[in-house]
Amino acid sequence: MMKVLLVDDEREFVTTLAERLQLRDIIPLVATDGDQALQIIESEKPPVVVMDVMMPGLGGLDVLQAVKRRHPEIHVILLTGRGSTQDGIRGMRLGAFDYLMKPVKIEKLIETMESACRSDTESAV
Amino acid sequence: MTDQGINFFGKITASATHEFINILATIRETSGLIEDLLSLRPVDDSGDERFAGILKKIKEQTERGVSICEKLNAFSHSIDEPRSRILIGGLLDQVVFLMQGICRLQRVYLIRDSAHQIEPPTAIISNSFRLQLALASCIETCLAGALPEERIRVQTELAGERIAIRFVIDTNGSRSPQKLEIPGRFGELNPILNDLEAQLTHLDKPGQSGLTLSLPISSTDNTHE
Amino acid sequence: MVSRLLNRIRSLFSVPLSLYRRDGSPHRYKQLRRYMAAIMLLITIIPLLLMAVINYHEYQKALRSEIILPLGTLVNKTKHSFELFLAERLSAVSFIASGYSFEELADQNALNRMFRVVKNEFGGFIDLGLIDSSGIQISYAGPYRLKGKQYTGQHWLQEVIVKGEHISDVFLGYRKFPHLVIVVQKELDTGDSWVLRATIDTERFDNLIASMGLDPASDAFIVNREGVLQTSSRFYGKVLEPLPFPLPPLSYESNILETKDHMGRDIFLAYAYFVSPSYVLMLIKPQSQVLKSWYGLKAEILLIFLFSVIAIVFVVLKLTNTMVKRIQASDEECDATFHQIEHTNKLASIGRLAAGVAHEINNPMAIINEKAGLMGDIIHSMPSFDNKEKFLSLTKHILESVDRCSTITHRLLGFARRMDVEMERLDLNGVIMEVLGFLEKDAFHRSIEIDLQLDERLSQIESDRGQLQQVFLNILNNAFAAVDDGGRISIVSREIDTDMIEVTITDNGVGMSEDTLGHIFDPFFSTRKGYGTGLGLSITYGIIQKIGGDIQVTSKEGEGAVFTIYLPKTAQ
Repeated sequence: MMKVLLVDDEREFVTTLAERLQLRDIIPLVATDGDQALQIIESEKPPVVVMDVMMPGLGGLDVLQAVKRRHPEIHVILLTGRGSTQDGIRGMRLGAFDYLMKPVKIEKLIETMESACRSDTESAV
Repeated sequence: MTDQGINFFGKITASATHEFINILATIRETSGLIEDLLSLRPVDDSGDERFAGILKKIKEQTERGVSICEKLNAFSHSIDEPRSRILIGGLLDQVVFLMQGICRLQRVYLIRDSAHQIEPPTAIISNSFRLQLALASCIETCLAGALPEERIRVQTELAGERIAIRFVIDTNGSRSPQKLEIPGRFGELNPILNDLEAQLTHLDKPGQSGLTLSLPISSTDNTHE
Repeated sequence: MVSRLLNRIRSLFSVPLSLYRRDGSPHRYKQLRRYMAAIMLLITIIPLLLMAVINYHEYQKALRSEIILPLGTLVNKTKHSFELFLAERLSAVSFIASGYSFEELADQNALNRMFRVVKNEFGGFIDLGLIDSSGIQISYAGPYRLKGKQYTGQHWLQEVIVKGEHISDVFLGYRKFPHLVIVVQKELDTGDSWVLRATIDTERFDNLIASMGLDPASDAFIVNREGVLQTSSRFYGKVLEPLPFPLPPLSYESNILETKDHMGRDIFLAYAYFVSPSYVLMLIKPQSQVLKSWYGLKAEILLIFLFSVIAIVFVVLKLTNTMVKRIQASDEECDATFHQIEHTNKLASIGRLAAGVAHEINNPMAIINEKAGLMGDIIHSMPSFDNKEKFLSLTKHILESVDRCSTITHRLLGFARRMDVEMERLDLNGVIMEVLGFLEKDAFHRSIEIDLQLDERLSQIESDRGQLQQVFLNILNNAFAAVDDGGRISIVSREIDTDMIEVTITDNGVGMSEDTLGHIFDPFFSTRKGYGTGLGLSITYGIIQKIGGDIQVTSKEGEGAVFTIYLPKTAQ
């Protein structure tokens, strides 16, 4: 069963998303800011992180850079409501696996997460 | 940024917010219907308590969306006129609303200082959109000079034939004030300030850093584009 | 002191430096306009004024000398004519008196004959008479019966006895005609004297004056030293009347005075005293006459001056207006270009505000999305849920509403982004690589081969990064959609001539028909698969047009497509 860290400063959003993922046999971990996210990453080492780009304080891109430096094997999927290619491209350049727009279709999100996990096994081969 | 462009943007935003409101209304009705249908069922399914909670949340968020859209609507309509009568208080509310999100991202809080406002409410004649851009620029400049957990207070004061709008960085006394970097001569702000007949200066209060934007209460007609 | 004065003048004319600083305030341009107009007006009007004043005086001088000098000359000439006339007559009488003896002249017939000759030869003689020492006219030739008349005591007789010859003033004689007499005295051996007397008709005088060719407003006449008119004056009295105003000071050479006559009129008085007889020739021209042309000229000068000033003022004002407007426009353009190129220190722009708007509304929408989705999940997972389909469809309805919101937000953002052009100098190959990075995963998963031939020596271009990304993303998306898995896309970038860069994107996908090719850039034109999904390419076309470039497509069904983009190196 996949372990996923969800990071978003909108509590209602991230907890509901977590609930929905749970119904789909995914173990969600939840953080509402960048610092908390990094802490959980250190302790739990989730294979996939789904993170909002726009967060006060440590933003999604900052956390992404930190994660990639320390744990390059962790896949980060970025979420944003801004809708500009700039964030997406910057994120990709910084090492994000993919980039999705909010509000996101849960099927698409899960597909992307699975695709990220699959890429591990493929590259391992 | 021509007047045509601005007007078009205003219209597009206005139509967008109108659609948002319609959609929110639909969501409200739909969730209301779900609520009604659930209430008609016999009370035995354990899932129903969760539904009540979910529906309640949906309602809350819908209301949140509606209030945001109303503000956006006001914003988009304020763009229409090249010159109009503007209530300073209302306009500042609008700009603070638009800029709050950006400030929150840096954990800086943008607030209207109720202790320093002009009574009774004052109106000026000006170009609403350009004024909002100027005010937003002031806020961004202050934001660049503020640290997390600090506040930006927005104050207004009457000074003779002009209104002074002050943006004060409230550091809670934790550090000495630093001079803000006002963007250079050829920055985007100058033509706008000239158009508004506004003057932008550093805050002249000792021990505080910030900006003062001074506007004439009634400006001469210089909209010629 | 001088240097201080110069400094003052210099400061008057130096334009304050602040006017050269382009801070865009409209007040500055008003000031600049005022200064320019003032200086231009001064520079043109002052010389004009000087010229007008100088001309005024020169014309005045010239006019005076041109009109006045001739008066003097005329007076001189006329005076000489008079003198000549009288001298001739006097010579004639002298000649007769010298050439003939008393006895010969006493003979009436001889006198008659002499008189006839002298009258025919000289003209102007009315009569001729011989007067003996006792003052009796003993012979007389002429129209009157004056033989035997006694002249002792007559003024002229007394004069001639003293002076030997005499020309009298004009006086009224018999028949009331004005005339004068010329007398010459001769002495006999006995010591007695006799006098030859001739009467001269002053009609000649009038002729001489008429020959001066005066205009009707002028007047010329002769007076004696007592101020009695010897010829008739037009305005000042008939012959033998006194002149109503005093004589001018003595001058044998012609002299010209500006004075007033007895009626208070301003006149030019040209005159000359005769040596003998004691006449004064006077020529009077009213100043208003003379000055009529001068006034006309003065009015002309004034009119031309005023007209010129008005024309100058008009032209100067218009010119400075146009010039300052041009300066203002180019300043604004300059500022606009600067602020486009300067991408640091950018302030709140429409794009950012729009993004703020989108972000605000997106948060509650995302939450509603998850909540409704959760509800749907729960209901879905409950096996015995009454009326499941109904509820599921309702939650789906909510989700669809949220979707619609999303679309609107993206539309709004897309438009706002296009409104803000952030110009910068960038490396086009870099932008292409960025966009490819975005599609990397897709290419990898689908084994699409990307063949790059990007010219390393490509110069930097001036453009908006966001818009270029959009352009390439759109076209590459289309290419990706058109090719099968394992397909091939090639990107070539190169410089063509000095100011254009060409990017060619080729794919080996499904290709397009002629028909599709013709509509590929139409908004909302969409094919089932592959190119032109919705708005993408029309927006691409619009962007390229706006930045001054061009885009061309060639394609054959089943043979893929080639998109060629031309981009100008410098912003248009």
